[in-house]
Amino acid sequence: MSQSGRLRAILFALFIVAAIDVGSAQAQLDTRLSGYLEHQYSLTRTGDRWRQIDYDRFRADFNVRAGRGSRASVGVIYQLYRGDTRLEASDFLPDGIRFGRDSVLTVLKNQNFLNHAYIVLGSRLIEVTAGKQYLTWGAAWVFNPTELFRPKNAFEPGYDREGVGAISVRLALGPMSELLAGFIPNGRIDNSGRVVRLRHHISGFDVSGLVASTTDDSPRPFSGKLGRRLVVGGDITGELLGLGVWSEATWSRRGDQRWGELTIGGNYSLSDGTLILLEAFFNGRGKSNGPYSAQSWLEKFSGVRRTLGKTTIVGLLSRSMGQLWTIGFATLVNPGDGSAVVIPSISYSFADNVDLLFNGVLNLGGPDDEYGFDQIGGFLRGRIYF
Amino acid sequence: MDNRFIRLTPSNILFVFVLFFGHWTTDESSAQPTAEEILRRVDENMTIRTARTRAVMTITYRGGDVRELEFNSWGIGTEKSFLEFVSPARDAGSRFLRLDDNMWIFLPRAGKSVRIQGHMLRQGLMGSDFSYGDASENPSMSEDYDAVLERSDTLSGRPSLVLYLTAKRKDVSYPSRRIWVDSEKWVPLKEERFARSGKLLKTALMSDIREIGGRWYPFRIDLNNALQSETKTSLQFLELDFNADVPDYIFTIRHLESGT
Repeated sequence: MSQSGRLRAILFALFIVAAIDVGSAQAQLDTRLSGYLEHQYSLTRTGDRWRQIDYDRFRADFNVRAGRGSRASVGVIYQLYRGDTRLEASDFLPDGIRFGRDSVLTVLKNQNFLNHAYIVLGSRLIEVTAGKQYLTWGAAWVFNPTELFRPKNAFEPGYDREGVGAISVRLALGPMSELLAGFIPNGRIDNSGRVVRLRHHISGFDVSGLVASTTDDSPRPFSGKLGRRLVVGGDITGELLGLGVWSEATWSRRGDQRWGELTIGGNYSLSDGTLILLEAFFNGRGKSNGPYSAQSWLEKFSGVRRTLGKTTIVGLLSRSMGQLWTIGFATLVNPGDGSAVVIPSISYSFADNVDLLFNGVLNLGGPDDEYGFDQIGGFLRGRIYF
Repeated sequence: MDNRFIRLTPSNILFVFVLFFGHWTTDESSAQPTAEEILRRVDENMTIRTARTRAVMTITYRGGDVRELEFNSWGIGTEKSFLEFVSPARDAGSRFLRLDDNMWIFLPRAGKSVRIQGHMLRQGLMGSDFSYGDASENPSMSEDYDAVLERSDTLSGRPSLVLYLTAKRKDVSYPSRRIWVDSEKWVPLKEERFARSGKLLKTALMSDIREIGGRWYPFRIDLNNALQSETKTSLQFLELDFNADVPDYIFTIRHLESGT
């Protein structure tokens, strides 16, 4: 059976199980099916070129609680692209970078996959999770140095992210404390990731510490791995002088390279509900000014590197208008090269289970800057939940 | 940028009200009690050992749109509460944990819990007129407020006593309040919450008062936010089970993130 055939079979089975009245088996099984269907249309102009892409994305999450703390969760995603789906180097690399200048970086293809799929066995004290699971950490809003496996999309940090194939063990140390050990298979044993994370609550602050070793894939095709990376870090979040504050940091070593990453941030809500959020990210691998190397650009494009610049400032202003409408204005600024991207957004709760969202993206920078090369775009997205 | 977590400004409002307004004795004294005695009696009656509830929160928008959110919640004493939304589908599976002054939200599609802190507490719960701060405040009024008995009144046909409360500490959500207490059932019928400037922020009306387990409880609370006229929010309890068997493991980060 082909991959898509198998996934269709899985999806069909999910619906069959969900459709069956499980009342008779309720003592053993607690099942739940949920998800959404999303359509997005995007339009982007880079230089003189306009590109439109639209997609349909179907997500079905099926969760089973099977008693004695055991459970299973699987999320199926079908995503169908249409439009100008060939992403070329010139769309993402500045003119100053000649490497692969005219090549096609990637093609957005129809895809169906399991966003996550894991089983959990355990007790109140200890719990083992096996399968494609969420290993998402960190208190920061956009840039999470401790997020080692699935970095956020800086332009839309709250959007779905895939799980990562792993086996993890969680040991409860108290109501607000936990020790996690994870093994993330990646080809050879010595390329596989390992992580230990301890989180605790101290005097009103949530605190965590993390030690990990991972191997990042090279962003260049057929170039193998970037080498073993040792990471030590942690985060802290709490309240200071009435402000919600957080900080997150890591120190990394890979071969001869040593670098640190640090995020500090805070938020404030006005009495009318307007939210103001500021975050600063310091990237020890970043450059204080452009131009940036082709390798850096490719690493950023592939998610191995979070930013090109040494410092990035994130700002967010958000306010409900008429309650069902929310307008937002976000910006990412690279003070080093003076570039910025602004991201206005409008969301509307059309009905209980219907959301509409418009996001714009406007780059304000020179041709070789991090947020430059004359790009403007946006998307309109509708989502219905079930 | 995704603003979802802003709309998901939830928390355990159920227990705010259960713990805040709960357990009112029917024992009537012949002499009118002092303000402190009323407040102390209120606090004594509010204290519950455990509770399990199901409720619906209805948000009515000025244009006529209505949003309904149903949730289950569990609580132990005044320190621990846990809430899980079961509908609508968009918000189902969102969970909230409160341990003393600490609050977290779990976002199921992100597979991650987020701490709610600082001024984020001012954000509305799921777009409602209830705020995180409403849910996280200490339900013991006598600990936080000095009370003055202003007058007797009649509200919704019920005899009531009006108390004006002034905060003893600066870090409470509302520096002053005025409450109307049913002088026979000892149930609050109305509450006004004020800013430091004296400006009215919110008005709550309690109704559908039923006797349950030897106590009088308001099964419905209507909240009006004076700072905005776009919405009105009501909370209707569908089930209230006091002294329920509520295991302690519910009130852990592990349970918040796993739900099992």
